[in-house]
Amino acid sequence: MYSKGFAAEETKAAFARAAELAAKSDDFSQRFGATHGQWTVALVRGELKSAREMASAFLQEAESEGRLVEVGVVRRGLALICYLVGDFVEARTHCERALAACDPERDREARERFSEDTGCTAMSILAITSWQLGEVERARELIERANGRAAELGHAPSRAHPLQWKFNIELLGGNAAGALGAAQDLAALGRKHRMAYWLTDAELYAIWARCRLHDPTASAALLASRGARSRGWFSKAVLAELELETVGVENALAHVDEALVLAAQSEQRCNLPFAHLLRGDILLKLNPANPALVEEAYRNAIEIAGQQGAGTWGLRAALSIAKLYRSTGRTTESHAILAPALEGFTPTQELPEIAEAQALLGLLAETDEVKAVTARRQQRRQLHVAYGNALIATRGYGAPATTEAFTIAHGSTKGDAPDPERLAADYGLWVGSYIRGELPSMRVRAADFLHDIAARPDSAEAGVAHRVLGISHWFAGEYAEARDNLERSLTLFQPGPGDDLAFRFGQDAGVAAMLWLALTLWPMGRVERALVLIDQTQARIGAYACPDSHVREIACSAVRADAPRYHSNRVKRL
Amino acid sequence: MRRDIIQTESNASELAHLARDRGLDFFSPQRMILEGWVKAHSGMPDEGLADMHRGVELLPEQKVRVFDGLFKATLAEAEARAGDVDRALAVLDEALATCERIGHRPFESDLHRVRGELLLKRDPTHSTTAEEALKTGIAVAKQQTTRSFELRAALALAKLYRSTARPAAALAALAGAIEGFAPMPEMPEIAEAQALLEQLRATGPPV
Repeated sequence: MYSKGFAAEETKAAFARAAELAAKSDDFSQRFGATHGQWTVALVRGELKSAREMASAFLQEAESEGRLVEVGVVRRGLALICYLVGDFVEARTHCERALAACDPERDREARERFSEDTGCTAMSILAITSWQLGEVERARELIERANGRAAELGHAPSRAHPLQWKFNIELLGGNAAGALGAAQDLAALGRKHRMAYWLTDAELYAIWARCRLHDPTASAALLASRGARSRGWFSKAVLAELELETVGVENALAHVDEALVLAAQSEQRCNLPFAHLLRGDILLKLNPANPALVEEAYRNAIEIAGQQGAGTWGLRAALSIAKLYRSTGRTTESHAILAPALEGFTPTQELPEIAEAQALLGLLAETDEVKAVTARRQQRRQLHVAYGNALIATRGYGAPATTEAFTIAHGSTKGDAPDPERLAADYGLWVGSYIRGELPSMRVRAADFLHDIAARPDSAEAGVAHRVLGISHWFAGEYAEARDNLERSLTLFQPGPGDDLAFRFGQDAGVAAMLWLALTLWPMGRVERALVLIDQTQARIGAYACPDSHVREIACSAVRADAPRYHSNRVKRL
Repeated sequence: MRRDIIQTESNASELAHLARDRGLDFFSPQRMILEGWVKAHSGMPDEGLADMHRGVELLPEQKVRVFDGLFKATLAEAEARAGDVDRALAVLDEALATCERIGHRPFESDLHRVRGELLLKRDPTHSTTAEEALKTGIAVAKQQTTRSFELRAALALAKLYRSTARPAAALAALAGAIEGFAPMPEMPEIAEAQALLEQLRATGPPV
């Protein structure tokens, strides 16, 4: 494997023979070792469907036999396969489960049997997967940790994957200096331990990095002559990217088209949005007056990125198409495509496109066209929130129609800054999950709510978000976490300014915070404090009835989400 | 949760008025359960149990799962009080299954405690399963840091140990659970636990 290469015919034949012999054996370890070799070979040869089937079958067997080491090994293999086919969510799951099951003592012996350390490899694949999914800072943290851990182990094969994936992260992020460092380390490792497979790769990686840094034209030619002939579609796309900046647009277009033809024949789909995005860039440079083909290429990139959940490529492609639209006067379309792609990203040096996209979005948002569209959307959102609130009173919190109304309201906020209606929709969706007893969805909705109010952590609405999170913890019997969030909710509640929250968030924020805190503290043995809170709750409820009975009327209409009656009662009170 | 009949009667009545006057149908099942529970403890067991069952059945129809454990623990207690311990245990088993199925666990400890008490009531001569249930209630309460539920389960376990001539075990079960609590009328279990603890210390071997 390490002298002839993972994909070599000799390697394949050796593992096939081993599997044949092991098939007759009752010894699980023997059968596993042979099959592991077989699917590794299939993986490196790009036969990903076959590799996935073999690995999935063995995962079941290893799990049913309770073989924890082997389960980890299969999961790291499946993670890589899933990553390569562009199934990033599944890849992440396999990595996280492999990492969760890691045990340094137990894995020590497994390193020799299965070539490398499961933890280091799983962490590296999780890093590159996170990068694809848009979690670029997590990717950085993971890849640095994986390389640090691999260096500490002093086990040469375990260092290769972390270095390879570090190079990939630098390459995809456009950091040539970082990529060169990783490539040189990998080359040194390959040379010292005679690992031909990694040495060949590392030399190609280094050529790319030097090309970027020092001598574009000569290195591009070298890369073309040495590597791209045999290294699959992604290498051809990388070469095309270099050529776009060096030998010319025509060459670049020929190579990217060649890459896309090969990609169509390949099972490897990770980074496929890159090839389409690059094609768009090349076409734009070739003929700026004809944006239709450019738009089609960018849209292909966005579509594939969306299918894969590849948020980083989705953002890059959306930024490119947004710039294209803006340059051709299509301002509202530019805003509409960029805003949702940017959601969830916060600026970081790891991905400068985030700051660039935010700046562009800010400019677009200031135009009259975008302002008009945003206002119309907000109006529709207000209607859906009001409708959802009305349905709470008539059909119930957990009714499908209620949830549907809030889902539409929430969906229409995509890309806009969190506004009161979005927060009300967050609440409406959470309360439906809560009433129906759907804990996973409840947790997700509560986290969304808290995320949407993250910019105003001390606001009254943040208090409601903490209440929602606290109740979700209470629901799961997580009393300590419930108490912490409900205490925070109560701290953030301000009588007076917080009174109007009742209409948007189902009930009076003060009453709800005190009541839920009491309900949590009593079982925790804090009986006296719970009773004080109940008294305070009753006093606040009483304040609604006295001195002005209209206040109680307001509270009741707010609880029922009866908007006309609520407003009419408020007017009466004033 | 405190099993306070007088306060519950007053609150249930107010909830009934509010729900009726303001058209808040959503609260009808809760009202039925609370009113039924009060009736079941006020000399009208059949009517009370019927109301409670109707309320408990209406909740899933409204797709409501919240407070399932609390409502079913009180329903089970009311059933047992009316003499049908098997039906009460079936209600608790269903509630514990719901805990597992949907992860709604705030009343899990109390469900085990009530189950333990009812198992003992059904067959006082075979206390092993009751003891297991009460110990589970204590373990869940410890894990959830719900000291009030822990005290209730520990009190029930201590009574079981005392009734089976195991005063040292009773003392051990109760001593840690009562720590930090001071008697108060709103939680009579504290005074009851302290009194039992004193009796055990007075009559049992030196600890």
